[in-house]
Amino acid sequence: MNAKLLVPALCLLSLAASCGSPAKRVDPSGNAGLTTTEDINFKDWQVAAAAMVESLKGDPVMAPYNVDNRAIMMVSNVKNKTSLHLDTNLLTDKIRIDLRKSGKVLTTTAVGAGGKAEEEASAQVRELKDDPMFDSSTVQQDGTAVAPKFALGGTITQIKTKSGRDKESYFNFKLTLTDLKTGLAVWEDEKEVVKQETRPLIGG
Amino acid sequence: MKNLLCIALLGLAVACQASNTQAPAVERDPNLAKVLYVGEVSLMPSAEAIVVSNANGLLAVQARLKNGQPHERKLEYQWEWLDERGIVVSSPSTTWIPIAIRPGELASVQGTAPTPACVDFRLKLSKLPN
Repeated sequence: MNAKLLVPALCLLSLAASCGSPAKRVDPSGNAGLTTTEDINFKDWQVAAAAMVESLKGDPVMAPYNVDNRAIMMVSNVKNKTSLHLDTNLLTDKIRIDLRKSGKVLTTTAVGAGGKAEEEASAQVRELKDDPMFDSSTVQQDGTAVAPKFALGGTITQIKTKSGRDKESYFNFKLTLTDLKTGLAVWEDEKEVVKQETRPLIGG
Repeated sequence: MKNLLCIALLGLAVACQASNTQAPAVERDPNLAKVLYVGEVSLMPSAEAIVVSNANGLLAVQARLKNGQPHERKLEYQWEWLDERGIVVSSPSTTWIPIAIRPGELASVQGTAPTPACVDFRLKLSKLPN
């Protein structure tokens, strides 16, 4: 390479390399987090959960329930119909925390999606009744766990669209509350999130 | 002469007071004072009306926001819920939520208190970069 070109090229390269910014913490309740069309970002989970909680708390299905008469709910399957690897608990955990705070709902962890307990300890402690190390009168008895009345489940769907340098992702968060006695969907709602970006001409 | 001037001024003052009391009083919704504008107020949609109600035993509020600007405005809002001691009660759903309001549009934002202990609220509005 020509020596005359080498020096400016090295200068440009070093300038580009120094253009980064140090790691920083951002307020998780604010909108300073990164927004990408490829993923569901933390703000998307928060916005979806807030919309669902808002809808469910105000729905007539919740009217009979209060701190003295709480609905027992299990968290069922939230099907991931996107091409992404998602932890759907990011959605359901926020919802159940909010519903418990509202005084209307308690979530059982003794049963979960696919019949598998979310918290296996409830079953495990009952096995202690034959263990000579434990006072059997203090061991939780069979037939005492409270069965759920409702199941919370749903789907997350993604539609990707590309047009030239423009990219768009549409995410649909749909949740259903099923009355386990009747099998009827007694509450349903959805939250849509759409994100767009235009890729740069160079390096996109 | 001085007495005459005093009487004239007194009469004028009484007339002014009477005309002031006759003017129709525009009552501002006291709940609008619970809307807090974070940042430059003139660039943000303004809260026009607040409706307070009850949703299944929880305090529920709806605010109508008017964008009087000729451009779309992007902003974020956050509800703050207060118990009877004035302490903020937080929950995962009390996060800043982005919203876009078209020119001249009257948009509604709703919030429901996280717990039955919440008796009051504040609505915070903040502009997002367009």
